[in-house]
Amino acid sequence: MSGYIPVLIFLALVLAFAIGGLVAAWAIRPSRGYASKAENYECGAQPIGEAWVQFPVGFYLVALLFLVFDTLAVFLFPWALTIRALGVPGLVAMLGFIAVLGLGWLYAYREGLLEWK
Amino acid sequence: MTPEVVGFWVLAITLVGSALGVVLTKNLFHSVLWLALGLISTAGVFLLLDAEFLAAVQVLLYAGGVITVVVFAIVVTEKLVGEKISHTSKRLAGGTIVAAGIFGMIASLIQRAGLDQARPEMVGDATAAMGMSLLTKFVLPFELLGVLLLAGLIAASYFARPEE
Repeated sequence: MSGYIPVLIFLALVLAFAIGGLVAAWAIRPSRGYASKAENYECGAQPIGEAWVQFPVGFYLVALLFLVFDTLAVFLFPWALTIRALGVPGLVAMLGFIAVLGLGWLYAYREGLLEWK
Repeated sequence: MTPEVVGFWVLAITLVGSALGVVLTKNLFHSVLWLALGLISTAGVFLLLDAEFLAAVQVLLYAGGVITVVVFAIVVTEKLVGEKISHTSKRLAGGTIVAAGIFGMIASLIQRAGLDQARPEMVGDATAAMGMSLLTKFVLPFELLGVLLLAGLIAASYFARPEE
């Protein structure tokens, strides 16, 4: 458990940096707002319409594919830790698993789900 | 108090608070963000129980994958676009009774479960042991899991596909 002390210190520093920056800026800055301050500047283009637009459903399909291959990635970790001990049979079993999910990728590719219309 | 106890209480408060945030926030999108915080705190609870692999899975699959899918489900849903995305709580009385009943059941189970014994120490690398049994003893269920995931992927992408 003590191996997580650096993680905790890092987390505390991250939170302190983010919150401290916001609080310090809020405390120090003068508050004199006028209309052009709220506008976009530099590279920002003027927005057209609302931010709540319907996204193409392609995003959702990509997210579904991502979820399946995310699951695949999860199973790579226990295998990677035992790759030497298990040797070739372990490699074959894992390649079989990857191949089955590879069929899913092939299906998505053949159906054109990954193409951006 | 030991660091574990402090960590547990911090995580427990974060977890309950974010769970309340999920159900009490009016904005659906904010609910998802609270849910992400709750899932990450759950990963912290797993870490406290020396279940590193489960914590990694929790962050990768739930905080990473499921939250992504839910966010995309919100932004691609036609019904929600243009309207104010909000949800309300209805039938509070009935819900309270059901929740209290379930809480009572779980609490009585925990009471009876004899938690006076300390948790046995974790020996060895649980993740490596999991990999060992996954690819030797349980290799057939593992491959079948691949087939199940494949079926899920094909079915989900078939239903989610836009009409030609």
